Amino acid sequence: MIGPDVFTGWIPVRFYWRDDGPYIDWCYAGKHDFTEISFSRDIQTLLRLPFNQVFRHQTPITELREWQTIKPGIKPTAFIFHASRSGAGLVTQMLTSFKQNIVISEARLIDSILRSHVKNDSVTDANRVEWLRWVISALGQKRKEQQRNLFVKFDSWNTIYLPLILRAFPDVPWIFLYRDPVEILVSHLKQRGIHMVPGMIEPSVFGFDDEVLRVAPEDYCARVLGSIYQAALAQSDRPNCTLINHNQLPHALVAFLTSSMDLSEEDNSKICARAEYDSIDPSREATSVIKQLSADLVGPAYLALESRRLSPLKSAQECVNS
Amino acid sequence: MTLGFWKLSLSFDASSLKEDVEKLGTEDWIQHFNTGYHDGGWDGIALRAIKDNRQSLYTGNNRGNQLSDTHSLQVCPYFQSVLGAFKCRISSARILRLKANSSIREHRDYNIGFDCGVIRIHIPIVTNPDVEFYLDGKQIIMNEGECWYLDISRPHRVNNLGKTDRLHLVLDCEVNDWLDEMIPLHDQDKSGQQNAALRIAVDAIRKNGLGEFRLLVLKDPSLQEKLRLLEQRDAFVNTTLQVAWNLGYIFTAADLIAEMDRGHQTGADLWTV
Repeated sequence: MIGPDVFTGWIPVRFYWRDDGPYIDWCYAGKHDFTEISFSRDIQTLLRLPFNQVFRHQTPITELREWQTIKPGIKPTAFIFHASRSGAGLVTQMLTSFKQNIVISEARLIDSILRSHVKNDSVTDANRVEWLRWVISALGQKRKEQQRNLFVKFDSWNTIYLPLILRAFPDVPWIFLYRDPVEILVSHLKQRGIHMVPGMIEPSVFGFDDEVLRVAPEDYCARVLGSIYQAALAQSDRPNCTLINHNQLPHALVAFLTSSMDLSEEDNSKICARAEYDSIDPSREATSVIKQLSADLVGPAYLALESRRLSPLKSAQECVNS
Repeated sequence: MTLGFWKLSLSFDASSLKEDVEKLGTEDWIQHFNTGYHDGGWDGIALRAIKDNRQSLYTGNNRGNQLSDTHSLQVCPYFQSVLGAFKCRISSARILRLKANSSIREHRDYNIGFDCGVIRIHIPIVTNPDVEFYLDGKQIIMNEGECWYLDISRPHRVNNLGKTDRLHLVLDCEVNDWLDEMIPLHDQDKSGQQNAALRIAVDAIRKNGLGEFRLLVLKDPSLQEKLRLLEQRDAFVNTTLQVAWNLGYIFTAADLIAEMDRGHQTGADLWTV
C-alpha cells in the first residue's frame, strides 16, 4: 500500500520484468521540464543526480493504477504518430517551447509496454491497454502550475499499435505525419533509425516472419515503412485522425497545434516563429532500386493516405482503389 | 579455494583482557608504521618483538629471529596466559588500536600465511557493532574474547564507524602440527560450517545497512528533500552517510558508491529497445 503523496514529483522511467510480474522503475523529477528531443535524454539528465542513482522506487506496475486513482494526470491533448524523418523533430521543438505543455517524446517505457506481449506471451491486449492508461497518467502529472496540455509522441514503429492505443484512448485527437517514401528511405539508408536495422525491433511487430532478416537493407527499410503506412491508413477514417504530409509543413502542423492547444493570439504568432523550417529534399540521391522498392512496397499505402487526406470522406477501400 | 579465515575453538575472558589493557600507559602507544593505509587512527603497543627492536610494531617475518618480551607484556599477566595457551612459537604479539571513526584502507600483507610458515591471529579485546572488517570483500564479525585466524595476504580493510576504539591482540604464530589442527581449513565439512556462520552474521548486519535505509528514505519525503538536491557526488555521499548514521543505519561510502554505480547501470537499460 502507498501513502497519498508517495509518488508526488516522481516519474516512471522503465518497465521491466521480475519473477512475479511487470515492474516500474521510478526516478525523482520534481519540477523538471521535459524539453529534450526525447524522453530518454531527459531521464539521462535526471539520473546524473546521485539521489536518483541510489533512491528509486521500484514497484509492481499495479502501483501505477493506485496512483492514477489518487492523482490522475492531465488528459492527453493529442498524440503524435509519425513516419520518422518526416518532421517529427519539429513537432517536439514547437511543443516544448510552450510552458503550458507537457511533452513526452518517444518514451522507452511506453514502447516497452506496447511490445510487452512480444517478449512475454502471457500479456493480453487488455493488460497493455490498462498499463498504457496508467503509465500515461503518471507521465502526465502536472508538475508546474501553468501546465495544462499533455502531448505524447510515440516511436515511429508504435504506429503499428494504433488500434490498441486508440482502444485505450478513443477520444484523443492524433496526427500521423508522413512523407514521400523515397525521401524517407534515402534518409534512413544514410543513417538508419532503430526500427530500420533488421532485428532491433522484432520482425513480428511489423507482421514479418524471421526470413525477412535476410533481405537487402533497402528492401527491409521499404517493408517496415510499408507496414507503418498500412497501419496508419487502416485507422485514418477515424474522426479524431489528422493526416499531415511533410510537404504541408509547417502550416498544417501550426493549424493542428493551434486548435488543440487553444492558443492566444500572442502564442499563435510565437508558434509560427518556431515553425521556421528548412528541409532538404534528399530524393535526388535515390537510386533506381530505392525508387522501385518504394513504389512496390510503400507506394500504394502512401497514395491511399494522400487520397484520404485530400478527400477525408472516402472509405479506406476507396482510397486504396483510387 | 580454501577459506581465508577461521574461528578457533579457543576463547578468552573479555573482561580480563580489558583489565590488562588498562594497565598500559598512554605513552606506550606508537603509531602504526603502515601510514599509507590508514588515516592516523591506527596505533599499537608491542608485547613481543625482535630483540633490540622492541618498540617497533613492525613484524616482517620474525620466524627464527631472536625475540624478547617487552615491559608491557611483563605487567599484563592475563596476556601472558593468553600467549601461553598457544602450543606454538609466537613470533610477534601486539595490541593494535583502531580509533573511533577511523579506517584502514584495503590492502594485502606479504610474507605471511601458511605457505610462509607464519600466520596471523586476532583476538578482539574491545570492539563495537559498528566495526566492519572485510576480507576478500566479505564482512567477518569478530567478537570480544574470540580467537580468529585471518589470511591477510588477501585484500582486507577495516572501518570503525563506532564511537569507541577497537583494540585487538594480534599474534603472529609459527605453523606447527598443533596450529594445523586448530585451523582445519582443508576439512570440507568444518569449512562449510564456518562459511554458513559467516553468511548469517553478514545478513544480520546488512539488515541495518543501506538496503533498510533506502526503504526508509523512499517512505519519507522529508528525508528525500535533504538528499535529492545534492548534485555533487562527494557532498551526496557525505550527507547521506551522516543522515543514515544519525538514524542508526550504518554502511560505508564504498557501499554507497557501489550502489550509485549500479543505479547508473540500470539507467543504461533505458536506451535498449
